[in-house]
Amino acid sequence: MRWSYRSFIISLSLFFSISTFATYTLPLPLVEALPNGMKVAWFLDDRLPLVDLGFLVQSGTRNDSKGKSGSAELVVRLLERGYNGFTAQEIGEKIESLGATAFTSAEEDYITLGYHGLSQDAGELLKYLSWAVRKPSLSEIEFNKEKAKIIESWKHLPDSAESLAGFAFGRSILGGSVYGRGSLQSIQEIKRLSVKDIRDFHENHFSPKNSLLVVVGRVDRDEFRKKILEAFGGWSGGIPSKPSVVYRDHRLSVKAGEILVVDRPGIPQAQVRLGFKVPGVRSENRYSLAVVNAFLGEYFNSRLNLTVRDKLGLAYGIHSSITYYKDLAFFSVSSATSAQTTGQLLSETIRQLRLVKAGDILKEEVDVSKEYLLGGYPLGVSTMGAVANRWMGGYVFGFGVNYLNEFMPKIAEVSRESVIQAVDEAFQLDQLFIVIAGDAKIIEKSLREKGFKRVRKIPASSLL
Amino acid sequence: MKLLFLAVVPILMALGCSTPKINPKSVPVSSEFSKLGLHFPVIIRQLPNGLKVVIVEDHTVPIVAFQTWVKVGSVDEKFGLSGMAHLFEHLMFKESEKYGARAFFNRLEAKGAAVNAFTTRDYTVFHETMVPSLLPVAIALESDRLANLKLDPELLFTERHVVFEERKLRTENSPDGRIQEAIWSLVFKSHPYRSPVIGFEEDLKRMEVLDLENFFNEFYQPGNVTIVIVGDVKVDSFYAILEKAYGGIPGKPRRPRKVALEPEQTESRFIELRDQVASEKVTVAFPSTSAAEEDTYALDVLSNVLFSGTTARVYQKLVEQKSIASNIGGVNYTPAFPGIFMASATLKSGHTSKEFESEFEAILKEVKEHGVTEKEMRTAVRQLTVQTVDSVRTSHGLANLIGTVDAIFGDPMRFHEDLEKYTRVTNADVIRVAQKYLTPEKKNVVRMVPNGLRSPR
Repeated sequence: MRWSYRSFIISLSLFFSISTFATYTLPLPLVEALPNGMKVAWFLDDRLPLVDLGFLVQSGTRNDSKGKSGSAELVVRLLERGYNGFTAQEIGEKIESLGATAFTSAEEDYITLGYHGLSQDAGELLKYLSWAVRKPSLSEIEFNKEKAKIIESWKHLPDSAESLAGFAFGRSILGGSVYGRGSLQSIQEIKRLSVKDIRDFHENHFSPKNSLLVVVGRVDRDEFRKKILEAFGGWSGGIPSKPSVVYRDHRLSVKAGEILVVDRPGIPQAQVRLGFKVPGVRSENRYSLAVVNAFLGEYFNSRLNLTVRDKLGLAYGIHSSITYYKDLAFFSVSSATSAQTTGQLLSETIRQLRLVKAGDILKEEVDVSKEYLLGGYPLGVSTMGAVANRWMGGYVFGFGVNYLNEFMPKIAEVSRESVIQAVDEAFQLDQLFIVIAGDAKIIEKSLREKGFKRVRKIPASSLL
Repeated sequence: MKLLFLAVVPILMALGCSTPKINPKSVPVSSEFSKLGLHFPVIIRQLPNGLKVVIVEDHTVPIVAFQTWVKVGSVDEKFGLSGMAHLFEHLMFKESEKYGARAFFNRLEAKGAAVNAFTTRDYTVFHETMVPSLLPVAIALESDRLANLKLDPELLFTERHVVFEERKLRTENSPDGRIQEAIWSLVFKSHPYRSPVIGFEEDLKRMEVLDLENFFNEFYQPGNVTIVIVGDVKVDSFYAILEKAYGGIPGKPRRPRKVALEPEQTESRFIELRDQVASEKVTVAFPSTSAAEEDTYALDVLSNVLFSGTTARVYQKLVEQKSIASNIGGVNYTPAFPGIFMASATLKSGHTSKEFESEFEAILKEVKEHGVTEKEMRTAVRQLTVQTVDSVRTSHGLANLIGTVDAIFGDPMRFHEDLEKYTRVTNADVIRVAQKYLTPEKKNVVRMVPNGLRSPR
């Protein structure tokens, strides 16, 4: 079967017309501020008897103090381990007897916690949420238990090549930034943390002026607002100070043109990650880059998937994405291939990136990508919970309330010219970060066969 | 009934009828469903060639889910040809006569539709979720590949390599994947559930185009397929399109499955694997029921009491109190044929799988002797209720639920009965099923121990 990407893309363009783009307007939340400064966003939806109460704190792991990384992570873990005089087991019994589930997460730029359950239990869940936020026990005993769990789970990092590659690539590309420490810099650092550090983090960052409550689902707004005022009205606090620490993990620094291989002998497949930094979330080129990412590696007919999977059979899948933090963004490609074919996969991937950088971009593939993104948008926001999640993403970045409805018109405006200009600015291929995890002996041979000479190996165990 | 499975119940079809059988129905509202305000009007139709169509109109959002449920899974594979059902799922995306190569991606995904498929031990599902204007395209493409799929050695060669990579990703490179493969091969000695859905590499290498053509002719025909459509559609406006697209494809009655039965297990079994893991991992499994058996409800409730949430018995004892395991999990997995009830754990450094097994056995002994508390039963039923409501949040989710129960029971409305049945489970039921199924002679254990070397398959 002869194969031509160019003729394939041109044939695609016959199947659609840009003029058919429909507008799709999402319901905007009602956002209000309580007298204490805490914001509440309402996404009401009567369709199913469910409710999600999400609480967002606008501080994250990047705001751990110097020498105290892991604080945000531990605070989040401890919130469900005791509050308002109740033990972890008592809390678990209260929540689980309602069939509800708790969710907590410490991300780079923010923290979330909340409950998901039946609407009939919304008031009860709100009460528990307010206790978790305002009255956590943060006890020494639970602190030590959770710290031990983190240390134990860290030991399992080398169990999987996927985890190793993700960890090493993140450290590599984020090195030298405020995100360089990840959720914890090292086991040594977390061992030094005291319960006082955790209490200090909570006291500083958990404040009404730094917080947002998101209510999603079937509730009576007037009645529920009264309950929110009861639960959070008496809470006070100022604007937190937010330290940011720049860190670089020198073990995982990658020089230009160098490939870092994390050695995990004996496994048949190599996990491959490569990428480069791109302009941040407020860049005018963000939407053009979304289009580039789509045709390069987001959908099944993307350039990378068509070559690496469909034509060459080298991988089950290959995907690209753009990761945005508040103050940093990067483009990355991830895949897994037999250790013996690592060089071939890497070579083909870089070739595709270079073609794009050289301006080998067709108007037709830009148009296809636009229609893919526009047509898929309604699917990604088909539940009120999904709408709320998307809106919260924009809220963290400081976008306005109309952010939800900007995506479609902005994508529709993207042209081949704007894509070429965005690629020219963003695709810094001389600053590629390449990290591979797997059996280094076989991987290195495969890389050399394809002309990749500058390989640096580190044993997986050295990351512990 | 944990929904991860497929049907043994043959579909009752009106083959040879000259007019479609039309059964517009609403789900009879059970008291549990009505209490939650849930109501799904289901319409069932059938073409003369045996194709069954299940439709739920829901105009809440401008999205529609279109799913094609083919009643073929790894359970239907011949010995030595493991992985064929899954490989076939891949090949179905390759090329068909009228629309050519990659049509699903060119004409649907390129317009924003979510296009994918999955294969289980019992069935294969192709699903598209999209804006309603794309529904006629989905119907045209799905019907074309059901009628006119192209198969050739070159496609087979490339796609086989893709599957090898998928196998490495999901199994060979993954300690948990290796354990899962081992536990199924341990529990099942005769029944085809012993083979992994993805197949073994040597079996995949053995397959020829002729094998694939025979497989296609046997299973990919209207009498073996149910289409489920949920979302923003008007039945009257699209049904004629569907009838035209599928009506000309010849169908035949579905042949009952001939599957080797699994003899009753009479002594415990054990495998030890080695891998580069930081601490031991273990899975303990017992032969369980099929989804169609009544005991599945009591086993599901017990599974929630033991494994679901931080107050579950196994979590409390092994993670919180004894601090032996860093995490635990478990499920009563009930496919079309008898499945497995299993518990898994990752041990903390310095602890052994045997400690887990001993503690788990003590927990089971307690259940067999004294049952579970009223509070535990209520919590389990509440958890199962929320899980059910969660599963119908999207068009895709509701279509998935309907397709699954149709594949297992031949009745797409069967799902509404589950909540009722869970509420009727008693403590005596839980004690009875624990005593019947979770016995020492039926125990199967896969231990994975760390030693830096991998054991052969």
